[in-house]
Amino acid sequence: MKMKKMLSVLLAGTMLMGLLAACGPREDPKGPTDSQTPTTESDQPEKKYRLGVMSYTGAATFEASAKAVQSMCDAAGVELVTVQLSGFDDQGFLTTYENMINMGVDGVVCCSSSEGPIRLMADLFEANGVDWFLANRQISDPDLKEYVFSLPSFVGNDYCAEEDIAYEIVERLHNDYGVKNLAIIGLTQGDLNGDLRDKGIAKACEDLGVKLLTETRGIVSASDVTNAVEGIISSYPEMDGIFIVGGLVTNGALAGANQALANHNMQDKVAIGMIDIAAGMDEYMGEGKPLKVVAGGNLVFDNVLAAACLINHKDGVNADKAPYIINTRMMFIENPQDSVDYSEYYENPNKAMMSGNQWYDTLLGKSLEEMQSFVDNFTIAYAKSMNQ
Amino acid sequence: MNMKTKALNIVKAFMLPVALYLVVLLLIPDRVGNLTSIISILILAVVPTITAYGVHFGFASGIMDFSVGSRITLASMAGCLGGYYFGPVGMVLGALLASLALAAIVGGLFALLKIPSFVISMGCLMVFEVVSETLTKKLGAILPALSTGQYFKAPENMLFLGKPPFNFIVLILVALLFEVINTRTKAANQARVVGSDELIARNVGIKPMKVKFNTYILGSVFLALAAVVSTCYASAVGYASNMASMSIVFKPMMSVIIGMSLSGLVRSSIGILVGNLCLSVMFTGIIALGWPDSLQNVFLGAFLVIILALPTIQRAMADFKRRSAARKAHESVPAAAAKV
Repeated sequence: MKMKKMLSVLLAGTMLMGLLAACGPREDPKGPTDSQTPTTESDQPEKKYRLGVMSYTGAATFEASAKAVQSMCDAAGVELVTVQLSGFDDQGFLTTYENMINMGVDGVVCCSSSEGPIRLMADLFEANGVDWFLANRQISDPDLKEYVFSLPSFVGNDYCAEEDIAYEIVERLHNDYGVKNLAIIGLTQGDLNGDLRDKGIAKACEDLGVKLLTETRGIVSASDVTNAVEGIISSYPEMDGIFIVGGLVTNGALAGANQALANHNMQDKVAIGMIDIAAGMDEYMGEGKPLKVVAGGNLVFDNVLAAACLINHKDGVNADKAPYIINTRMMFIENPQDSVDYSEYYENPNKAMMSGNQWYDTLLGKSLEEMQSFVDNFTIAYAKSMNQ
Repeated sequence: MNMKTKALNIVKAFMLPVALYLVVLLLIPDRVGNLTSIISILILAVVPTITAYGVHFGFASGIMDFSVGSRITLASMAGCLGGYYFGPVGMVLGALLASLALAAIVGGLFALLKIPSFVISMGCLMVFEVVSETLTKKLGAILPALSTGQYFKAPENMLFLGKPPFNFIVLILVALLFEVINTRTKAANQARVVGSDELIARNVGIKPMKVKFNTYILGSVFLALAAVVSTCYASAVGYASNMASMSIVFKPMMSVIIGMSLSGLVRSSIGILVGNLCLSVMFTGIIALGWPDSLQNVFLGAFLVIILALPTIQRAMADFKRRSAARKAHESVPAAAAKV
């Protein structure tokens, strides 16, 4: 009984302290006022620009991207503030950015699961005077786009033409591997990029005369993928192509699909195309194996480019052109060696894709045209040459 | 109940997936009217049925456990690890030990903290998912032959377990084991008593918490077997994140509910199998029909509602029949009296 009383007093005290803390004066996000500003330079430690980037522990793509941005920030004398993503849903992204703002960031590399919360995010950054760059997402709603692009805090937007990439994969599967009957293992509907990819697939199938047999979505495990492919094979023996729309969404999706094909001795009869580069995929590529074409790698680049644009903006580079758009692209991998090189020289969580000086040679302090040209000409072979 | 009635009831229960199959067959005869399709339907039912046997004990005692998917994932990984070092025996033992340990953690926390089972299961699921992710990543760096960093590879010499006829043999053996445990053990009987009325169970001297803990342990044996078969079937097991593994339990849970709805006709082992066959027919059917994903979900949701409503409809019909019979009897009594 005594313990209970003590515990309740302790809890009540903690709640009261919490309430009082919340009532306290909030730090001005725009920095100290004139009266608070130290008078001499020696009083004030040099304040570094703080760049907020989200991370997601365990995901090689995020880790590789964070590594690259870290090396860029080190070179530019910027402090990197990495905040763990609270969740892949709208609320998760919003919470992450609120946390960043509470940590006093000056600029944010922003992304969003869907278009829904972008307006809310925009208002959040605007109200707190934080520069932000929308990476990896294209705004399709013209009203929202107009609103976002009218905000002074908005620096720019980079995105990959998801629709075109999906189109190109179907095109390559059709032209290079003779695919005429395609099945889709897709992302859950409502995902911004997933929906764009679906559009691209539908358009390509229509243009090229490829028959879209069936689709299955929201798969979570490798055995579910095996189930799906088994089901498709039994109902559509004519299937000669599979498009895995999000290869990283289901870990082991490729292994699961390959196993179902192996069970029916169809590994050399069905060509798989995939978006997102998965670890160990070289095992399923090459002669007599099903994986033929994979596109990906833009997520790393989108974040790196967004960070470079924010750093440039802080230094006044291209600031007069803001907000601006830079188009990124995916890299296509069609053989096992490219796959190995990609993991080693581009998306390596243990080693940044470029060093400090190389960032200045390529992205930092460069004009928009130079940056766009760099992106357009970037290949795995180039990444390898930079990393030697 | 004599043998003839029992056999007839089993046939009646199996008529449900057969009827569903016939509907699909009528709609798309050229797509599903072949042996490959039928075998595929049977294959699709194997892993969810074994998982459902593992879920059944907890479900019967009133436990809602969403950690099942994450436990299967971790048990599969432990199985791959065991298989990598010690071969087939290592795989089975690895999965079994991991599954038992994880069940003891979830069940132990539930019994100790006495908070709702689904809250405990959600918490454990989140932790287990992170563990599965970390394990995959760490081993990806140390043992690339076993883990790619995104998924574990199943031992090549065990893949046969995921293919017919071996997966069907395993399913039959597991069903027999389930039947014995479910009908002949004290733990399973007590689980049912606790699930139907906890107060009565207490009054007759049963300790509900202990029984519920036992159901976690009992179920974990089947989950370990599901983990082994599932890994051998897909040749890999990937880590799950953002509570994705939660959905692994939905299908088995649906089949347990179907099994319970059919309890008036057949034993749970058969009811659950019938439930999974129904789901498997529908899954194959909607893929074969080429329906978009949204329509697939609508159909699956509607089917579940119908199945859940079946016992209520049956009861309502029986009540209606009983009442009309009583009314007729009541009406005939005054008439007879008047004649007298």
